[in-house]
Amino acid sequence: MPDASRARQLVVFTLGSEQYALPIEQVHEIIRYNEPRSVASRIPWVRGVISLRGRIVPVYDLAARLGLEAGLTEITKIVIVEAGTEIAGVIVDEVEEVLTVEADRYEEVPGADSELIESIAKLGDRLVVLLRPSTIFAPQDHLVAA
Amino acid sequence: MDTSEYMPMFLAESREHLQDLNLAVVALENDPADRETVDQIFRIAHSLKGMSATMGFAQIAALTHEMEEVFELLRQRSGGLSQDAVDAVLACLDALSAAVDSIEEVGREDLDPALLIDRLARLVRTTAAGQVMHVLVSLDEATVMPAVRAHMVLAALGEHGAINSSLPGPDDLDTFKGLEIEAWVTTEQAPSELAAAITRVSDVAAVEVTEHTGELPGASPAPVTTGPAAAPAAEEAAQTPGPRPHAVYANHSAQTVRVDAERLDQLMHLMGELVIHRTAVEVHTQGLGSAALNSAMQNLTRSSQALQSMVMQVRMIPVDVVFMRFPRLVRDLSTKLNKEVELDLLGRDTELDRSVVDALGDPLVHLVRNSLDHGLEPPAEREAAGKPRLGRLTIAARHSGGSVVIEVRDDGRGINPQAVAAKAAAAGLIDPDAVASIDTRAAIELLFAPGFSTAETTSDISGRGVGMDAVRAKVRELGGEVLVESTRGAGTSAQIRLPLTLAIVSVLQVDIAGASFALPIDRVERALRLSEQNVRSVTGRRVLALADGIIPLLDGAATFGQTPTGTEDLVVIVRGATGRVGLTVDALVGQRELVTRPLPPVATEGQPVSGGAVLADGQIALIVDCDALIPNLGSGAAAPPAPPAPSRTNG
Repeated sequence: MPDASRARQLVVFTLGSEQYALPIEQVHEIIRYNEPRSVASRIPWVRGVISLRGRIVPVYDLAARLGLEAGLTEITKIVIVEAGTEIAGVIVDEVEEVLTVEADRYEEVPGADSELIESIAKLGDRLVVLLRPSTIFAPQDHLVAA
Repeated sequence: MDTSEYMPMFLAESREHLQDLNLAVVALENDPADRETVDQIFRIAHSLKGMSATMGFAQIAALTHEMEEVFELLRQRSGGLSQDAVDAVLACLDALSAAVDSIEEVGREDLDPALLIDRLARLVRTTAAGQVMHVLVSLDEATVMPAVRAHMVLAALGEHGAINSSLPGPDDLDTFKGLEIEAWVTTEQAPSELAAAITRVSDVAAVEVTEHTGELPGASPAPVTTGPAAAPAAEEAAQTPGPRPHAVYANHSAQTVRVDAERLDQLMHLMGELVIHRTAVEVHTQGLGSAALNSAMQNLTRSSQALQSMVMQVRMIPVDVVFMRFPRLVRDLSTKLNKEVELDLLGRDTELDRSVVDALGDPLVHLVRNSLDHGLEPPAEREAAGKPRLGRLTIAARHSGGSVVIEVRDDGRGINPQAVAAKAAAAGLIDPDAVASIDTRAAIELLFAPGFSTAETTSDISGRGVGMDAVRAKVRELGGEVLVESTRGAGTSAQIRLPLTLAIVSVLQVDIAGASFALPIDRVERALRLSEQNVRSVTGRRVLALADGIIPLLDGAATFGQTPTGTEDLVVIVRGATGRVGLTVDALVGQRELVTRPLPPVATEGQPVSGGAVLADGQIALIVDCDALIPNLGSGAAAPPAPPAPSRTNG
């Protein structure tokens, strides 16, 4: 990572009892949860599509993707993530805050799904899992395998 | 001089010029006597030279200058260009295209024209056959209309050679009152023959023809062609000796404006939003009972519809933009394959949405390559079959209802079902036992199977790993379909049928299992109440027995992976690729104009939908891909493999 030596700003959100984060540069916006239009995708964690200013954007169930249990609540949000030309929404329980995390707080995660998880930031007794935005978007091999 | 701001224009115009030149040179090869084309070539080459010199591209300018010399000779003599000359000129055009590409990519022309210039120069020397004659004609003193006689003299000279220059010049001809006509003519004929031809003109008293040596009187009246087909351009050339101005193009550009294609797309996009908002307003005003509001709403609708059709029109461009590449392509390929082919381009003015035209190039090139490579036979084989030696390839575009049909048709050997089936069996696509019993229709379907054409030994012409499956996928992506028909020994026809415009589609909006779907209105035949129909079962699948035929019945909810609600009592009959299909729906919502948006591939991969649209209330409707509604009734041995799930991109 070119910016590994610098502090990074992260958007922190919760899924169940765990805390996750995405780099702020890739968070396009956060919107209130509306039931996406179901599309019966063959990929289980594709929840459906929503319209975002005329564009049709897929919405991913991040909890299902990570193998977590999570239900919908009043405060459920959709975080719109941008990576390259792709744009997608991920469902999160609640958006907590924007944190600036120094580079030395990150730790590699032994045994974690490194395709999804970039690193873990240890902040006091909090663990914030930094996700890899590029892999939130369905890689093509998932399509082929489906 | 800083020319960078003109660069995009230079690139665009250069490409246009090169394309036109390619076309014109090939056209001239077919019809050497066409003076208009000659003049056109000259004009374009000249503009190209001027433009590149202005932009500081010396090598392009040098090469076009030399080409101009060749074209100049062409203007002076009849008989067109030799095969050598055409090849050389086309090679130059290729080099120029490469140079233009290189300018765009790396900013340099990267062209070393020395070899090509040498090749051209040799042509000029060998082409300059014939001797320049100086002709002096004296008219009878009693001549009543010297202007008419002078005209006739020059016309007679023009028939026997190329007039380099004359006194009077063509402009002064009408007002000519003298009795002496002087001309310099390049001809292969003897002086006596030339003299004899002129003597036949009335009122000619004396003719003196001498071989001319030394320089031509180039400074006085400019080189000019006066002949039976004295073209306006020749006159224009005569008026302006030296470098010719871009007058011809200036006239055109006064009435048209170059617009960045991206802006057109944006315009379309905004128009789409407007349609969505208008529909929303319509919904909200319904039932409010305000007469003033209703009338204002009507006006708004009318204006926005007019605007919409205008935006559509602006985006329409003639299909000729795609067709233009084919004369050259067909010429090159047929030469390579030793086939004799005549190309007919029909309906070149047919207009299509820009986005469709852009995407159409590759599929059409593939179809044309197929015809040349597999369809049309070598001349000897054609003669043996009692056909004319010259094969005929037709590319035709025409409007048909709300669609455009583009057809690539040849009069070649047609499709041999057994040969196709054998090849498919070899590629493991079908059971070898099924080869013998295959019919033409099933064989054609095999052509579209993925892996069919990649399995063949890669021939230089059409076997590039892209097969008919790629053509079909591309055309389906555009919302169209490909149909192939073939008669053994008589030829093959491939038709691409496309919607006129892509972005806004007229649909029947329906509800299936509580979700919105949209059926393209041009595919909808009718809607029926299911309980009043005769529903039967064939091989365990439901069919609808109608008065005019038996059609497969698809359960809407199951087809789109929704949970059935059990309330589906309506069936919509739609036309798909394999025939009519009945689709059950919960409710008919109404006819709508929807702005199509690409769907994320992850969401709908493998489902029979071709796109999405945002409805007035912000909900999303999926647009049903009627061609992908596969009834799946029975499965005989010769049944084609299921078509590939059309790949959908965000593009």
